Amino acid sequence: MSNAGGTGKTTFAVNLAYQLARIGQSVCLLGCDPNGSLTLFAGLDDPPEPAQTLDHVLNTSFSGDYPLYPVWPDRMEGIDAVLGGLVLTQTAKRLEKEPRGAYLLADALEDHPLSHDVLLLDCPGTIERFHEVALSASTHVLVVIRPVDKDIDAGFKLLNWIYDARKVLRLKPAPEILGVCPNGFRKDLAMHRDNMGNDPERSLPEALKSMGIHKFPTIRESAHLTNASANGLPLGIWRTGEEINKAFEEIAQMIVEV
Amino acid sequence: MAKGNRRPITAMAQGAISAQKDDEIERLKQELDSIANDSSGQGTLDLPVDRIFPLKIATHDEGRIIHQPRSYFDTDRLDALKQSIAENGLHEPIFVRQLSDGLFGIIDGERRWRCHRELGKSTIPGFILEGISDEKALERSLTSHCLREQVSPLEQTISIMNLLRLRLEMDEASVRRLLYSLNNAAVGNSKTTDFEASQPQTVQGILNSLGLQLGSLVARLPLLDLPSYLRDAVEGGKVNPTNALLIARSPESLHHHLLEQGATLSKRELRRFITELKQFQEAPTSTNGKSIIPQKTEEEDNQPLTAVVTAKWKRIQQSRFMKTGGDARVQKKLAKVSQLLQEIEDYIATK
Repeated sequence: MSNAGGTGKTTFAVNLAYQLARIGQSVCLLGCDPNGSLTLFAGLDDPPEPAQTLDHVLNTSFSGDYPLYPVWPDRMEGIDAVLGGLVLTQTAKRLEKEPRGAYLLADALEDHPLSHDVLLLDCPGTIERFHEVALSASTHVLVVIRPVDKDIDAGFKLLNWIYDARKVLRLKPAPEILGVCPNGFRKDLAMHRDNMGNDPERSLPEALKSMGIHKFPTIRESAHLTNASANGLPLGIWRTGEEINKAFEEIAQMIVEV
Repeated sequence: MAKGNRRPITAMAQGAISAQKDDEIERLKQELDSIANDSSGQGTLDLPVDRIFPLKIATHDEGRIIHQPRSYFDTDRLDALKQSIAENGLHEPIFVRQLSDGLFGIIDGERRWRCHRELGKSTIPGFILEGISDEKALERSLTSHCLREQVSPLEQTISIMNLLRLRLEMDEASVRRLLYSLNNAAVGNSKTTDFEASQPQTVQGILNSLGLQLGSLVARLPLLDLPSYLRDAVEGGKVNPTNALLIARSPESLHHHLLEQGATLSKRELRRFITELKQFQEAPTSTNGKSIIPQKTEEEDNQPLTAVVTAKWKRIQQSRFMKTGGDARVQKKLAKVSQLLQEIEDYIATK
């Protein structure tokens, strides 16, 4: 989750999925975003019918036939995706009227469990109905933040929202905050350096430490990473030797341990 | 942080931190609930009673020790619990954390532990909570104490104040000032906002999760200032908090009499009683001669001192309060009188 656009959630999700699959985990990516970035970043085409998207799953009459698309099937096995897309704007409206709107995904997964080891839910940029849907279906939440003031401020508001929403939605067991991953770090920018520095008043890592929230390895801004996503591939396939892959590998390891 | 940005990240994080703390209380509630409802007793161990100690932690508040959290143990209620444990065993395991050398510190369940000790039991069912810092232990202890229904309003107020001190990192006087100004602002009496932006949220969060209104907490604050005999009476269930506060506000010379005569009256009856007593005290001759409080008579002024002393002593001996033995305060004063009389005796012996 994030509370700002362009923080790199979807890029993060596909790269994490790739690294998880490499260490033998089967992964299902669920695109909860009307922008459908996941479709593009996973190298897939926009699904022609709403019935082929997450919208289909979010129905009280859903019978367990998940519209799964294999991701990078010619390169590897074990990654599937349920796609989002523009239809989700209609879904959000529909969910408002459903008595169990916020819990429909949780209900679907409870009644018809997916066989994958890890499910990754990719949420929209700002807090909306799909955040509730995703939160109630999650066991853990990972927050991606770019180290700029605006995103950090919004990120803490998201954490605040998560704590409150867990109570309001009466989630038992409540999903845990797995940690925060600073993404898109540029050391040539003073604001980024300050926000990732040691000054207790001005540092994101220090603020997280004081709250006991885990900080994942910082992922620096990389044109290669952006290009890989734009080409519908994880960085691990696009440029295997890139340093950043190690960070994703490390995060994947941690997730397996959880 | 961008140059010139006046909002440090610590300020940005305030809302989330506050929500996180509320969330902890919520989780603790759930945990307590699930343990209370879990009859299988999974994870419970039989802990050696003689290796367990009550919680005692020094905090930043000028090194003052916050004891945990129950400083007063009503013997009647303790006896009832003891009897229940003797007959039916313990329903709810206690919470402890591991100290050094195989010792345990109580986080929740001091009363239950005391009962076990007094019953001569060698073990008590308990949960060991791992990796709990002093601050967390205290916070958990206070929180679970606040959440319990059988604690008295005074005990609860003490615990909430301790919890607020811990959360706000303030001493007790500052927490009180904050509560008063928040309450004043809430009821529209003042527009002062001499508190930090995050403080109202912290206070409100704690109160919400404990199901308490700010107004009722503020109304209870004077309980903390009760003289010890009134406090004991409240804790011992001899007088309700409302009446105790009414008594505390009346002239001090009336306190013991009121406590004895008026503790069980309704608030309205007690108010009237106090008004009557005050009138009597101010104009003793205007009453119909029925002595409520022993008063000095005018004749005494003209009598020799020995007669005055004798008369006073007689009245004291005959008072209902003294017939039941008086209290510590009286005993202390009597000791002084005895000392003075001895001095007179010694002096006379030299003449």
